[in-house]
Amino acid sequence: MSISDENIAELFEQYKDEVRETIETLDNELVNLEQDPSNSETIFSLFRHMHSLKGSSKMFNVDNIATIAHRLEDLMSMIDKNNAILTKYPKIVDLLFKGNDIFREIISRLEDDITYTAMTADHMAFVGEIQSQIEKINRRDSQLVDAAKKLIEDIEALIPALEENEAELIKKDVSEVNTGLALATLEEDGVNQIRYNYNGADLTETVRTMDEILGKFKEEKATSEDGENFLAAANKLYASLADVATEDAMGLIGELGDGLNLFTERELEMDQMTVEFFSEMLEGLKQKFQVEVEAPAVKTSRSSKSSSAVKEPQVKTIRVDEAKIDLFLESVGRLITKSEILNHLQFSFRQAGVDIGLLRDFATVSRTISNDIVNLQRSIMEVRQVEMNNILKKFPRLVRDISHKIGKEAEMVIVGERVPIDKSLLDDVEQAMVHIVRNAVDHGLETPDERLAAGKPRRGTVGITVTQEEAAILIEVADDGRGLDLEKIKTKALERGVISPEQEGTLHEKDVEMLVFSSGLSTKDQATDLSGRGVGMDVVMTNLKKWNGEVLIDNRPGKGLTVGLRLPVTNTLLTKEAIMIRVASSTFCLPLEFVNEIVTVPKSDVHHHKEGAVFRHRDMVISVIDLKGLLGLPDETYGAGVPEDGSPEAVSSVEGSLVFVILRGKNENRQSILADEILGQQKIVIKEFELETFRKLPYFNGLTLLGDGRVVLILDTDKLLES
Amino acid sequence: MTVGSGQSVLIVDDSPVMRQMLFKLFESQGFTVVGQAADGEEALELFEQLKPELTTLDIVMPKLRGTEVLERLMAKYPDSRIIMASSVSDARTVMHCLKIGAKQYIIKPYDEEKVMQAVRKALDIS
Repeated sequence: MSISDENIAELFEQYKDEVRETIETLDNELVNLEQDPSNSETIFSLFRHMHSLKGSSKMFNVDNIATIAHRLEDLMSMIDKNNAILTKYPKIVDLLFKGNDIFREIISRLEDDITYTAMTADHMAFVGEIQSQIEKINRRDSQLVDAAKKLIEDIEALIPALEENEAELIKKDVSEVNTGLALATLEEDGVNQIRYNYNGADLTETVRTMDEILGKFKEEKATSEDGENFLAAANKLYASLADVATEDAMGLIGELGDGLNLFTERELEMDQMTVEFFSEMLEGLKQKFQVEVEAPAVKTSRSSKSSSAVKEPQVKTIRVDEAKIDLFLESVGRLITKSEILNHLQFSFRQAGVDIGLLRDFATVSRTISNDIVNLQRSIMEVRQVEMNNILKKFPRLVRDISHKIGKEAEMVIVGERVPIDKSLLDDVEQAMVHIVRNAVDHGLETPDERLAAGKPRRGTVGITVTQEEAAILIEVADDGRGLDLEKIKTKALERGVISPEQEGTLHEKDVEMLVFSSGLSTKDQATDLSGRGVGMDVVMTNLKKWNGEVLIDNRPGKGLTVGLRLPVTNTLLTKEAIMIRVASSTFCLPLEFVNEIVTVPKSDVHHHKEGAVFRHRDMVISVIDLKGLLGLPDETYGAGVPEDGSPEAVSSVEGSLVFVILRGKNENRQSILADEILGQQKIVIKEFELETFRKLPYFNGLTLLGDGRVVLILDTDKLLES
Repeated sequence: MTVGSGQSVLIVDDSPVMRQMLFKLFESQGFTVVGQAADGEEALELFEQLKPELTTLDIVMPKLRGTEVLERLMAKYPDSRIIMASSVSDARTVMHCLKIGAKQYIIKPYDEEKVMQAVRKALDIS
């Protein structure tokens, strides 16, 4: 039995109704989009409707709608990922409206002529329009280049108005940025070139490997190593096909997935049917992609043109490109510091009573420049980003190898491969994760017998989840093993002298958990060559500290352990968001990434112990760092302190209640600073102290210049938390 | 001979016409479609209520994406037989779904043969 023609006709009517409905919805959503281009819900809804339209039109072979919807879906997907695109290319909305009109035209023509499903010349021209728009956006580097060019123009326009020595300084930076630009443009072409070559060569090589191994399977001579190599090659093929991203490739991906499913289910064994299946798939691939797999011996120097195009991959040069980007980044960094000069100039112009019109012009240009810099920075950061998959892909193998070696059974689950991460973080994050994952398998997971006895499945699970938070990346490694044995950790820490007997009594559960990250501590009685030497976990801490990261531990004794690493994204940027606080009569600056929360607490709820003040907030006891005491500032907080000036939006500690800034610590032990007033939030550029004398200041790690020319010290939360 | 013999099926797709099509297809092949969901949240609710033997799951849907629905269902009911039926065709999504436990992944456009082939495999019908 199957679906009858009548049924199909009926379904086709329903399809047309659905398209008409979608067209109406698209119209409404497009109006919404025009009014609020940054509304991510509208954007996602448009993406989803284009996607559905593509899907159902394909089912009914309405090629024209399917093709147009497909391209518009691609466009929406790009906007969904970065809605700044719409601000930059407002004409996209017109393009979308036009697309909807074409859908309407097609649906009405379909009423009289059910064969009106092919692309007309007009449709093709429209797809061309979408395509060129997409290409425009796609040149990610071009955004960077545009931003930099604009920046240079603006700055050059300003040079005549500057003092000679300042002009010289800026000219030098401009020429540096220009060099960087030239390199970035070069790099763009270079990278595309490499990617293309790499794909071609890669595909051929991969297919050859798979062919060879299939041959062995066919003759039943394959070893387990062959099985693993085949899996690796097939995975590589997956990646290459995904990069190609054409319809043909997608079909093959589906087939490859089916085959691999069978293959892995049978623990890397293959019966003749599976061999057949893969062989057929590879044949299809060779035809569709014109992959010529020739035996290496036949290859001569006079070989055909197509094979000479597939030469050795030139991936090595990418390293150089990264260095160029870094160079570029550095010169932009210097430029940022110089733009502070503009702010100063503006200030002194005002002081000197420069004509108000000129001053306003100057302010506008200066503001444009600082916007340009922010854009430029963002673009560079985007170029520097890679997907987490770069790190994650090696973990399944790692877990497998470790568990095999020590007679455990473990399964690996990974979520969040596509979360972007700054390249500069890669090595440190990877190193930290290797230690945590090793510990999870070596210390966390029980042996199969122990697990069965505890009523758990024989095979343990180690999961890695990467989540993109608003201003951070959260990487969590979870296992379903035995969890941390706090008593055992305490005993070991005492034995090894990591903590003193006096300390022991004062330790909270969380403190004990954190001991895992101290050097020289291992609770496994027998050291293994994998992770039992007590070195390693302290590396995690060192690496994290470098990036102002935070460790979160969720210990479930007997059930498992989750170690979370939270890495702020902002610390790779040159400018930071920060809050300005007033303490006594001084203003200090506190980068926002160190701020967990700002709370107002009634004075009567703050308790005083001999170690200092504490208060309770959301079931946590939060201690108060005595900043005024540390810095020797007058303290009238608990006396009659009333702020001298109260700007309307400022949060301040008024009589009866106090404002605390709760700091984001390295662990869950929270501490706070009492602020007499929160003055506001702004972007700052951190400058390190240049003078040796200043470097010795105990609680500051730099200074920043405010727009009004004031110099403000930046509080060093690390040192404060240690105090 | 039909492929199915009364097995219960839940269809999840945000497009009514796709649901209708799958409905007709499954009914004509001897399955019982016990429910249809138009978004991810509804899918979870109906799954809880109906505990279907087979589920077809779209990915791009309102409220909750199909991949998340799959993750949640597999976490709670690891033996569920779920076929992903979507026009999302990037390799990572396909791999991810299969890795976390989808039995099959079919990419739109699909026809009766493709769907039934997947169903056979997912339900171990020879």
